[in-house]
Amino acid sequence: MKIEKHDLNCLYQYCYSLTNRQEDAYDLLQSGIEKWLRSSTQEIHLGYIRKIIRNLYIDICRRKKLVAFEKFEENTPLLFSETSIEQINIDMESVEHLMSVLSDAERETLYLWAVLEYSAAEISIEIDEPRGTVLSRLYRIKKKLAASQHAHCQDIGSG
Amino acid sequence: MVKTIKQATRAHFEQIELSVEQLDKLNQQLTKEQKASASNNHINRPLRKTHYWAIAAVCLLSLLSVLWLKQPPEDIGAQIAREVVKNHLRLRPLEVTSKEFSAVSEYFTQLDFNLLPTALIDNERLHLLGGRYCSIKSEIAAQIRYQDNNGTAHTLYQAAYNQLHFGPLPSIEEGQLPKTYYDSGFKVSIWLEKGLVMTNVQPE
Repeated sequence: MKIEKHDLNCLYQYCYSLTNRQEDAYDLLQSGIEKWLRSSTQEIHLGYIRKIIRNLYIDICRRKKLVAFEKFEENTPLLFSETSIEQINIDMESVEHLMSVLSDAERETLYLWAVLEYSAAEISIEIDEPRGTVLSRLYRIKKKLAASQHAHCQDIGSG
Repeated sequence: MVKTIKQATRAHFEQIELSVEQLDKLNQQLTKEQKASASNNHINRPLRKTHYWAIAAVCLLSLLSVLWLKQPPEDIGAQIAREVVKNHLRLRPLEVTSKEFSAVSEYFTQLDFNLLPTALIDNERLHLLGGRYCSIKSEIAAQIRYQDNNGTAHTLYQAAYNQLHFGPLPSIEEGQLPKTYYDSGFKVSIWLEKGLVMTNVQPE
């Protein structure tokens, strides 16, 4: 049984969405594959392997006493329309900055939405969290994106 | 260069790739773990009577299923047909839109091959819309979308040919006809052309 290069890269990119550091992403991927190989199911199902990786990452964060996936708060605004974030334009420099200011959970949500093209409902099933939590994260991503672009414009203006 | 948030995010992640050394290490890990798992299954332990009965029951059930079902294994072509029809129905947004084949072809920098304007697409009847990345049987592929004069979508998939993954396929250079399958109201044609697997999905 072999995981194809394309699938390994997809899993690596998913790990990177969580850790935002290539070295940590590679370590997480190695640990995830090790755990998958020891599991009772060895079907090559990327969604299942992603779940293993996610749970491992949560355990790592708990050990380091980091909050990777914050709980949904009732009064947090939700993104009511996914198309409102789809229409936003961004340059590549701003993307790099955006990734550094997003939380791990927000980066993961952005990855699932933009790269795997999951809807909010599909993301909710993938990460086993309420759809409201996903919409709340998308709203926060949109806000941080706007702030990130504003900061970038100011840097250009003052430069 | 300004892109939509989706395009920019995708471009950001797609530049993250495992190095050759990292890939080798992971593949070694996969092989090592599989060997370790196989050897653990062969630890010498005396089988109890209940184990023998369980083994006998499993063998009998397997024999009976083969005899009773008598169904030929689904061929790889049928599996491919099912997968591409599913992708075709999803109508995921195009990553590159153009009426020019060369412009669409230029977009696919991640492929190990150049896109081919196949001889089997009728360019008088079908109009190019654009393309996106996808995969067929876990192999990276290009999905190229066309539209006919009725506005109906046709999808052509191109992937590098690998006999292990795709099985033997008819080659149009050798005068062979494409393999044809029908799935969910669509006609799927699969053939080999200049070393590439071509799969066309159109309404039946």
